[in-house]
Amino acid sequence: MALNHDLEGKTYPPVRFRLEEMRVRAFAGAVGHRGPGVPPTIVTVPEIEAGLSNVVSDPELGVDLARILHGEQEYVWARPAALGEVLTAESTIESIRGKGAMQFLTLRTELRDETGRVVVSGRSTLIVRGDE
Amino acid sequence: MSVRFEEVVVGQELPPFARAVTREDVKAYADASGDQNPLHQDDVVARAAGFPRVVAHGMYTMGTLASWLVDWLGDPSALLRMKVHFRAPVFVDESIECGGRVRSLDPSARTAVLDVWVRVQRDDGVEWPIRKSEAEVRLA
Repeated sequence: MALNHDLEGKTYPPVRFRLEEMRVRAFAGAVGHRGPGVPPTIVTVPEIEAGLSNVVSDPELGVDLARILHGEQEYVWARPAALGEVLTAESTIESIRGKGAMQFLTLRTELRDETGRVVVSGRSTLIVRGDE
Repeated sequence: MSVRFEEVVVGQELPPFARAVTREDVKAYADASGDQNPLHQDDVVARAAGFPRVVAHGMYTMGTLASWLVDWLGDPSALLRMKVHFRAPVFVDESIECGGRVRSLDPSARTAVLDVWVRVQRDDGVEWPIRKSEAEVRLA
C-alpha cells in the first residue's frame, strides 16, 4: 500500500516526559552509560511516544508496526538533558518518499524544555516495507 | 577528564569497545525505553520475520555507541550530533564492537567529525549493523 504523500507536514500532539531518576538509571544501565549525566539517547523515549507511536496508530497512514524498520537516526543536542527536567516532544512528518516495496517516512521531533528552548532535535527515517 | 583538541589528529582511530549483547540487556532496554515490540523479546516472532533469533533494538546499538563515545570524550555535553544508518540486525548472544576514526577537525570551534561504526564478527564474515555514520564532538 502506498503511503499518502499528502500527510507530509502533519504534526502530532506534543508529549511531556519527565527524566525521572529511576528511568534514567535503568536506561543508562541498558545502554552501558557510565559516569555522570544523562545518557544522550534517552530522548528516544519521548521521541517514540510523540512520533512512531502516532504513526502506527494513524488511520490516515495505515502502516503496521511489523512492516517498519528503523533505517536512520540523527540527533542534534543543543545541550545535555538534565536529570529531573521535563521535555516536551513534538513530531512532524517531514517527508514520505518511495513507493511499493520500500517507502521511507522521515519524522522530525523537537524536544523543548520548560522555557520553550530546543534541547535536542531528532530525525528518524523509517523504512516501510510493502506487500511485495 | 576530557579529550583535548591538540591530542587528536585526522585519521586517528578511537580505542574500540566490545560489548556482549545479552537477552537480559535487550530486555532491560525494552523495559527502560518502553519499546516492547516482540521482535526484540520473542524468538518465535523473530523467526517468523526471517531472523534466527531475537533482534536487538537499533536504538540499543546506537545507545551503546553513544555511551562509548561519551566515555572517550569524558563529558556528556561534548557529544553535539550523531547520525547513524542501521544497515544490518544485531542478534542476542553475539558481541558488537564500537569503533570510530577522526574524519576532520575544526580548530576555530575545537570540534571534530568522527566516522563511527558498529561491527559484528559472524561465522560467515564481518557484518556492519552501523556504518557510514558520523558524530560531531566538542574537544577541550
